[in-house]
Amino acid sequence: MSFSLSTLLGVARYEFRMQVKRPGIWITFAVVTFYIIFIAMGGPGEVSKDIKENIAHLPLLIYMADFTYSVNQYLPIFFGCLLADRLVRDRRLKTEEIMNTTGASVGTRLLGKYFGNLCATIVPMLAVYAIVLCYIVYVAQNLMAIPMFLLTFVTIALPGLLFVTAFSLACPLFMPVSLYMFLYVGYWVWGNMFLKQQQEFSVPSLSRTILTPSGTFIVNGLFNQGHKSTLVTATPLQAVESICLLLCITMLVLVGLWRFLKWQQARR
Amino acid sequence: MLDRIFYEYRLHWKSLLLTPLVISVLTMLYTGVQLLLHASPARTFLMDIEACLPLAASIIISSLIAREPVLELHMTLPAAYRNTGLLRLGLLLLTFGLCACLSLGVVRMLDFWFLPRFILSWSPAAQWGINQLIWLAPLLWFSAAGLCLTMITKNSAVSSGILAGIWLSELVLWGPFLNTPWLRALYPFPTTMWIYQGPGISLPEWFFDPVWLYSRLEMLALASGLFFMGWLLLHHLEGLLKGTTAA
Repeated sequence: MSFSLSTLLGVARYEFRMQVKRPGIWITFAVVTFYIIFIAMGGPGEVSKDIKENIAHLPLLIYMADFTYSVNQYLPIFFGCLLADRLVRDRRLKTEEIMNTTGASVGTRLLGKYFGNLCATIVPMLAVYAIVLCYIVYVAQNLMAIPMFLLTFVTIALPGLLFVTAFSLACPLFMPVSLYMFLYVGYWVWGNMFLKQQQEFSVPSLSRTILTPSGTFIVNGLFNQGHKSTLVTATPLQAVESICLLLCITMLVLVGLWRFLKWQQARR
Repeated sequence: MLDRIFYEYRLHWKSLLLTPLVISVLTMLYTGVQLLLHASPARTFLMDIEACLPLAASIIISSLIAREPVLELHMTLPAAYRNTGLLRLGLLLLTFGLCACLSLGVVRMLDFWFLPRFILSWSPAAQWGINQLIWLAPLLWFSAAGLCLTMITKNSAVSSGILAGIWLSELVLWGPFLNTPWLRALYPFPTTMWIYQGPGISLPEWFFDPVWLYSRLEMLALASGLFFMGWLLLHHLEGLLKGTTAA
C-alpha cells in the first residue's frame, strides 16, 4: 500500500460529504452565532453600529483583518467539539477493520480524513462570515472587501484551523471524547483570550506568545500593529514565525498520529 | 439501589470521577504556578468552581445521555431509560456538587472570600448557604441546558458545541448581561466577572442584591424549568435512537 493522490482525493471527498451533510454542524454554528449577535453583543443594531463606525474610521483592509480576527476568536471552538469524534467513530462503528482491508494506506486515509473534515467544517464557518461580509460590502460600497476578506482569512484564520483540526483528530484517541472537548474549550480560552489580564490575575498563558491559533500575532504583525483589543504588538517577522510555528506543529502532530495508527495496525 | 449506584459509578467512572479529578489537579497545578509567580490564585479558584465545573458537567451529560450503546435494549426493558438517565444525571450532579462544595470549603479555609464583605457579619450557616449559590446556580443551569439540548439535537457533539460557544461568548462578552436586568438570570459567572474585584474590594448591598442574589435565584428557577422539560423530552427515546445512529 502506497500513497496515491486519487485515493487521497477520494477519501477527502467522502469525508467532506459525510461531515458537511451532518445537520449538527450547521445547527451549532447557527445557534451560537444567533446567540452571540442577538444576546451577547446586544442585538443586530449594536453590531451594525460597530461595523459602520469602524468602516468610517479604518482603512478597509485593516478593518477586514479586525473582522476576521474578531470572529476567529469564537468560531474555531466548534472545531474541537465537532471533529473530536471523527477518528474515534471509526473504531466505535467497527469500520476501521474494513478500511484496513482496502488498498488505501493508513497515511492516505488519515490525510483524507483530515482535509475532508477540515474543509467541511470550514463551510458553515464561511457561511457565518459571508452573512456579515455582505453587510460590510453594502456599508462600505466596495467589492474589494471580498478579496480582502479571503486574504485575511487565509493568513489569520486558516493556520489556526489547521492546527486545532490536527489536535482534535489526534487527542481523543488518548482520552474520552467529552474530556477532550472540555480541555479544548479550556485551552482555547487560556491560550487565546488571556490578553488583557490584570496584574492581580497574571497567569502563565500562551495567549501572548506566537503560538496563538486565533491569530493574535498574525493580525498585529501583518495588518494592524497594536490591535485595539489585544494589547499585543508584533512585527511582520513575528507574524510569519507564528504562521510557520502553527503549520510545523500541525505537521508534527499529523506525522505522530500517522506513526501511532501504523503501530496500532501492525500490533493487531 | 446502592448496588445500582455503585454499578453506574463503575460503568461511567471516567466521566463521573476522572473528569472532576483532572479539573482539580489542573487547577492545583495552575495555582501552584501562580503562587510561584507571586500572583493571587483567587480568581483561578473561583473560575474553576463557577465556570469550569459547570461546563464539564454539561458536556458529560450530553455524552452520558446520547452515547448509550445499548439504547435499543433499554427500550425493551421494564425499567424506563428516562429513570436511568435521571439517575446518571443525579450522580453526576452529586459528584460535581461535592467537588465544588469541597473546593469552596478548602478555599474558604485558605482565607479567600469572593462575595461582598458585609455578608461576613451574617451567621455562619447563612454565610455557608449563600456561598454555595456560587456553584449551584451555574452547575444546575448548564446541566439542565445540556440535557435539553442533547434531547433536542439528539447529538452530544452538537449539544457540547452549542454549550461551549455560549460559555465562551458569555465569558468574553459580559457587558450586555450586566447592563440588561432581564439577561442577568442567563449569566452564569457573575461572581468571577462582576462581584469579585480583588481581596480588598467589597461591593455594596444595593449592587449585590439585583446583580447577584436575585439573578442566582432566577437562574435556579430557570434550571428547574429546564430539568422538567428535559424529563419530558426523555420520554421520546426513539428520536434519541435515530440521533445516535446518525451521529
